[in-house]
Amino acid sequence: MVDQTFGLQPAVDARSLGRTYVQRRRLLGPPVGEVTALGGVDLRIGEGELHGLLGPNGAGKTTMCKILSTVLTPSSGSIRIFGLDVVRDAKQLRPLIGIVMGGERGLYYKLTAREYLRYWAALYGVDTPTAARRAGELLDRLGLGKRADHRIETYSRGMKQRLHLARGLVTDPRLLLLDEPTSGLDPLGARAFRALIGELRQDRTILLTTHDMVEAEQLCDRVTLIDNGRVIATESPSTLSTRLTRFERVDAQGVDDTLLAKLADVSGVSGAGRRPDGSVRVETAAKDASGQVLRMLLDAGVTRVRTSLPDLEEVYVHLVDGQGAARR
Amino acid sequence: MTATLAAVRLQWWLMRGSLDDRQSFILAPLFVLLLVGAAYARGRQDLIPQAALGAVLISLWNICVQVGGGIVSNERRFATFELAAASPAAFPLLVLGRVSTVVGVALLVIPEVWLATLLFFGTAVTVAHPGLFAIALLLTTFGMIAVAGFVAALFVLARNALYLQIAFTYPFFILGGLVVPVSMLPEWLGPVSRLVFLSWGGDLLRASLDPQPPAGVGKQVTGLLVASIVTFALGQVLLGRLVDRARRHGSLGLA
Repeated sequence: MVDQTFGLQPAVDARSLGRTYVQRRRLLGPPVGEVTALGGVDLRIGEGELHGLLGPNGAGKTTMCKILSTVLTPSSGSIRIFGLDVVRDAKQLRPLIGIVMGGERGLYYKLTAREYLRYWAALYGVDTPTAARRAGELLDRLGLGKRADHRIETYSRGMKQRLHLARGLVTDPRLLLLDEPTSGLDPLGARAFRALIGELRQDRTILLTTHDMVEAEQLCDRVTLIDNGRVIATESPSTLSTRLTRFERVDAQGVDDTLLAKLADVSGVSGAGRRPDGSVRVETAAKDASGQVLRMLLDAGVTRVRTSLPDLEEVYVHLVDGQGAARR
Repeated sequence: MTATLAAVRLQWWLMRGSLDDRQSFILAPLFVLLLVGAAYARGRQDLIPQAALGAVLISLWNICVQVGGGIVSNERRFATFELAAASPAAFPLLVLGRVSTVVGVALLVIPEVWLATLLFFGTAVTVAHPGLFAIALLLTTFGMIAVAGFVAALFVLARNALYLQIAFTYPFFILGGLVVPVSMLPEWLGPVSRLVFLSWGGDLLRASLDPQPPAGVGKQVTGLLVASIVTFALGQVLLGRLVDRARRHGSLGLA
């Protein structure tokens, strides 16, 4: 099926994807409830795209990753990867997908990094000489070459994370799933890790799940915001910010309380208040509100004024909060 | 095949660094003291080789149950279960490779028990019919691997390892004729006992140690082979089915 967004067949094409978990008190007992992890998700990722899946904890990111990696079957809807159905064609799909987890999960601590990579490569049918070569190259590339023959249990958190990435790449997958790969890393480690992802992406399609806005903004071609198992928006990080100019901010200095009160009453202003440094921040929630705020400030003789667009984090908060408010 | 060999190698690497899978080597001499000691105390020198064989089989069975179940439990605990399920390799073949390594290494318990019997009680265990012993050991080893796969399947379904491990040890020591020969069990237990491959394997191994000419070997070999193959097939199919079930239910991981 040709997708109009890409002009080609998308690498990932999820339509009305749903996943519910049945709750039981006993192993084979009757169902006592149901939890919806994904409620009708539409998601399309182009081939070669680095796509971010953003959302708070419990939004459905990991469920999405599990379905994409074939370890969880969807309850409803359909999902195709490179044209193959994740349920019906799972066996053909698995060699094409690599997974990178975050944190301490997914490791055999008694193995050395080299052994660990050779094991996973073998499971994906990579022949021994190729596996050995790729493992060596990746470990060197990721700065683990000198510790390649040390047990994983002796590795630091950052080294384990780089090993996860090496594991995901050793099978040379067409689709790489990065499930919160910088989770638990210190800021410097996370920054270095992001740089690595950027360098190693090549022509691969990558889905990155994260709740780190900086990460998404720096790495992703497009991001999908997800909350409570539903897609809120899918855009490039910059488009998402631009599209939401109604959330523009106006910062001004030298504003007295009377003017501040008037600004707060302007139609379309969602918030106005004084900041700790004495300046005033006015947040708008309607397209033309910023212009009116600026005019009032200038008419009052206030010239130290600055406007700015929200970064992805602010957009995210606005959208997720908006969804929450709508549900409430 | 590549995946099974990779699993063999993985288990070898894991065992190299862990005492967990080798604890039966520590327990084996204690079983010798218990079982061979009982025969020795009763002045039944003739039963000492049989008792030593009981210690061997109990040790091997323990390894199968602990490792078979332990593989799934540990894979779940470290979230490697999901990674393995996401790989193109069939999980039952991975379990097969891993338990084969463990059972293969566990065979070292035989010389260990023989040696302990000699050191503690001054009796050398002699194999009267080496050919029969080799066949019986080969088939029993296959049966052990089959059981470990079956136990692993149950562990995919149930997450509490402890109860299952206990349930799979002591009752089977009796049913498998490890403590006393099956012929000495109550008559009504006979048919149940014959469903367990160990009852055939135990009889066959005992016959190989007995200086008397073995009788009914054909029936025992057939019984052992059938019970082992059925257990193996059941374990592999069940393991595959339960992994698929876990995909549907979202229970591959602990979360």
